[in-house]
Amino acid sequence: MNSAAVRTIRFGLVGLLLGYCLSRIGFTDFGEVHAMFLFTDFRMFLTFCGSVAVAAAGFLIFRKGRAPSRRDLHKGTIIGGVLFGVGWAVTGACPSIALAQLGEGKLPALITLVAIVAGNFIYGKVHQRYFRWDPGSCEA
Amino acid sequence: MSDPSFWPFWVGALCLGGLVALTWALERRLIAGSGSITRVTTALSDGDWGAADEKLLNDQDALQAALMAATLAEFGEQPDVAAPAAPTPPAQPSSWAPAYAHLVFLMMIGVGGLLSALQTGTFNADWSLGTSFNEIMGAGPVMIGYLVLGGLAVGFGTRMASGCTTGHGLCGVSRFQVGSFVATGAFFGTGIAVSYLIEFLT
Repeated sequence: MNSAAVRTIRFGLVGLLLGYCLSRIGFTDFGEVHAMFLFTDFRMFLTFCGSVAVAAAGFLIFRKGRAPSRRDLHKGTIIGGVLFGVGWAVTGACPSIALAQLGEGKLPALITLVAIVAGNFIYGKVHQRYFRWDPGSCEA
Repeated sequence: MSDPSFWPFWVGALCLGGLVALTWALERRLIAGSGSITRVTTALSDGDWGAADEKLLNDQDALQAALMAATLAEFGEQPDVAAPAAPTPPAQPSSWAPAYAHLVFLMMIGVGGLLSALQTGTFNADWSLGTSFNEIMGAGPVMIGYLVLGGLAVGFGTRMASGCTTGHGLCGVSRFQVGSFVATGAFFGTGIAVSYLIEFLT
């Protein structure tokens, strides 16, 4: 097997585990996300903070090799973040979540997904036309 | 309040944070949902799924030739300038992956959700986002309206901010990236504010 196929399979495996974890945690459940934002239930908020802590430990331990891409502040960071926050609170979905919801059989997530892809596409056009700042790398 | 079938926070933190750490340790790759969506969206619109580029990456001579051709196409021939010969970048381990790999990644997130739902016995393919959504936001045309507008905001906003919950929230904050702290503060803060607004209005 060539390296491209192997790499794609490994990529897919990460996606599989990510979708499974997000679903078991409850990130795909609107009520759980809503309760997280209202602080009526701290379970998912703690999950998020704990995940960041575990990931931080991982990044500290495995420092050698390629430096991970930087994520600097730019003009779109705050406005983009605010727009995303509005959309997340309303739909209960961030980009990966819509896919996991679809897998769970929550079919209206297809609308969310198509709208997310459309919004992503529209931003690409708007950025080319009107904005000139460097958005940095968004690459995995 | 919490459905008992969901993982307690420490299991979720170990698994999700562990997945990020393991992906970094083994693949030297960061997980970024919106980044992958951007790659797929771009491929959908320009039809370039990256297979040709990947071949190039694996063939250094062809890569150099292609770089040279691209340079000439961009700047034209400049025979007068004693070519400070654009130093060819040394072959680096790159996180670059073809767009089709990102598509596979995204589709497998769905498969992961399916496995989880099958395992917990909650799989039920129907036209509903769950009872909580129907109770809080509404069902029918109202739901479609919210999903379209909210989804557009998510897609537009995450690309504008160069990241979402995975890229900024998980992989950025844990590496103490300034942009990620600000973006995560912005989307979490707004999420809290809008959720309280929704609560207030319903």
